[in-house]
Amino acid sequence: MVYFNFFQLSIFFLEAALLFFLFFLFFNIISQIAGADVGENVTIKSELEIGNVAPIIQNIDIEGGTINLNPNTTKLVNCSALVVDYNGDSTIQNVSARLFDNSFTYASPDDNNSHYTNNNCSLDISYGDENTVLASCLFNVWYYANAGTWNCSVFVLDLSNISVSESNTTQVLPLLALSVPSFIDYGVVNATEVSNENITNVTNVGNVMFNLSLTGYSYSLNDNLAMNCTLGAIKNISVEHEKYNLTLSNNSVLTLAQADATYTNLSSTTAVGKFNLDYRTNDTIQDAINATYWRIYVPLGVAGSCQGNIIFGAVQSGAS
Amino acid sequence: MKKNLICKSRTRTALAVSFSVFIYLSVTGLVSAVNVGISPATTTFEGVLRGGYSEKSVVVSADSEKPVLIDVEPRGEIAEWINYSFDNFTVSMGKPYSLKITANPPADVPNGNYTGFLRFMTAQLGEGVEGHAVSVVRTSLDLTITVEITDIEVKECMAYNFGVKSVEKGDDVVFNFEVLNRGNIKLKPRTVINIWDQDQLEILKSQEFSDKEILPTTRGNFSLRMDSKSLELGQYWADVSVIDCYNSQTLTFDILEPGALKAEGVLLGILTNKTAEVNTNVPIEVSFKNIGEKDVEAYFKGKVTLGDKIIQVLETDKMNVPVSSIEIFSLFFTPTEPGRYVISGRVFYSGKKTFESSTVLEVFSKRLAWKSLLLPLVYIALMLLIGFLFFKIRKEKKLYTDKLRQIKK
Repeated sequence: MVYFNFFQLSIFFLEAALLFFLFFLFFNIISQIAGADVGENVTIKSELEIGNVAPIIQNIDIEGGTINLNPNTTKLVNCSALVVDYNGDSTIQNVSARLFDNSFTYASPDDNNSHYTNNNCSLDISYGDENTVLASCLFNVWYYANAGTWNCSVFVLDLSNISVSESNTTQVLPLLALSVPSFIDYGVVNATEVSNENITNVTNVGNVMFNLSLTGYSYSLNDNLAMNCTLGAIKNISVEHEKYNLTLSNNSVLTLAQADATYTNLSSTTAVGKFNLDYRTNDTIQDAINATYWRIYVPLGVAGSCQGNIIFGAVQSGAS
Repeated sequence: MKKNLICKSRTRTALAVSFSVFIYLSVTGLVSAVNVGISPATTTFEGVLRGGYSEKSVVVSADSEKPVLIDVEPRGEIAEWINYSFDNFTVSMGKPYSLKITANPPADVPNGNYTGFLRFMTAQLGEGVEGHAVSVVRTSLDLTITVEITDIEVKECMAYNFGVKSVEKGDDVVFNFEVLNRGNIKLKPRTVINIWDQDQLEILKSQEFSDKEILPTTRGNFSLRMDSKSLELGQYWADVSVIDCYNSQTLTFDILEPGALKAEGVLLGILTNKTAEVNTNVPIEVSFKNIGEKDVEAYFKGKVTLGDKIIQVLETDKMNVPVSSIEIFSLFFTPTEPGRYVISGRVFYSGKKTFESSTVLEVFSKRLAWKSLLLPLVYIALMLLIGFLFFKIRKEKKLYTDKLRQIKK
């Protein structure tokens, strides 16, 4: 009986201890979840100091919205960004920018046709108030940069290494431009002979493919003459005696009949030849260059110095 | 021996001359003196009405230091419709020429697309060589032009760059803006200007304008004058609405005493954290710039709203703001419940007020971190264990009690 009572008493105490422990744990959980709201005084942490705030890029302007390239050289393009940092403009560490053809990406490698990088844009802290900086990101854009929509992405980093980036787009306009020598010199040519072949290079110094149009005249347009000469009985050379070939070269000595068979006669009316000279795509060598081949036949009755005019014309061709 | 030396010397001289000629030809004969370009290479006049007007421009540039003379000549079926500002002009490096081109199709032309060229031709680039047959080269660039003739009238425009300046009493108030006519008909944009009192409660004056005409595809500057004689000294607000363009803007101006210095300021922005937790103090900074001609006493007055409910009214002490300087008004706000709060207000100065500015604050509940959840989880596990032990003890106790009862029986 005593044993039974002792056992029951032990069980009672054990259960009581477990219940106490259970309640202790329950209230602990409640206070953990509810935090300070349950039965204790609250201290709210006050964050009174404004930390570093991210700079804001308010506006990006790229040459007013369109870029007209310059033939055979670069065009200085300014992608300017108005940056505001409420911690003061002196906290701006660096502004960099990338200007790229929209069909490429920010991370694409630099290429004169499609992608340019400026890692250190110049900052004008005197612009606006003490929180405003005008960042000028300059790019020397080559004449053979792809025509179309381009993106200027500006990246701003402040002294706390907080960075922001913004972008804007602009249009690089198609540039039709060609480069040819200033004259074609056939040298000394005897009467009734065909001159040696003159090789004249035509270079695309723009960013669109073009076909070539050719016209010849002596004194004035449509005069059906190739040249006028200082001496002789006739003193001029008919326009059809000046000949060209836009694709094939033949540097052997030719008779007039052979020249007629190989070359096309120049005309006083504009003749457009399929030339399809594409624009440059190689940054290191000029690959947008095609040779044209020229000869002239000097008829009887012509002597002295002869001079005429050839108009090399370019007209955009194909989709480039 | 002497003859041999003379002969060798002549040969060397001949070689030198030949080499010089080769170099000369390489430099002058095979290299272009001038490279000329046009941009764009093609242009399209879209949606031009019969007898209508449309305007474009083309930039002609060159890489030569020396000015290059350029002749312009239209060609093709549209040659007679195409007009341009000059027949010839010069370009050089760094001095491109922007040529205005207009299309004026006749009134009786059928609808459709018409093409032609505008030919840009350089003067002669080189000169002849004595005793030689030489062709001097000229270059030409053909700008392909397409004119799309339509009979559908398009009325579309854009008004921008609105502005007004404070004036002395008695002077006219001049409202400026620009309009771009994007359609294909001549436009006299109808403009309504309403002048409101300082509290923007009452329209004091209203006037409608529609005088100036703008040709299609061109832009025009507008300066509209309103008499200020009936307006007292003080600040006013004006709604400038260009009805035809669906553009409007609210502006503010002062009527000043003659010779008075102008007080003017701008609220640059209300700055605060983008997000915050409930029951934390959120700092708010309001920056104000004095862009007037005299120092001003300024203060910020605003409110914090959550939905339609005003949670807190904000007001700062007055601060002196010198000319051309920026002052920051600092405030604090403690959100007590989560939500999207809007902080808005104006700066009041010298009896005037700025445009209202606002910012948004997202407030979230305190989030329980994983670490803070760990302890309750341990407690719960212990509670479950205790519960299990309790159950087992009870079960064993019942079995033991039953056994004792059986023994007693």
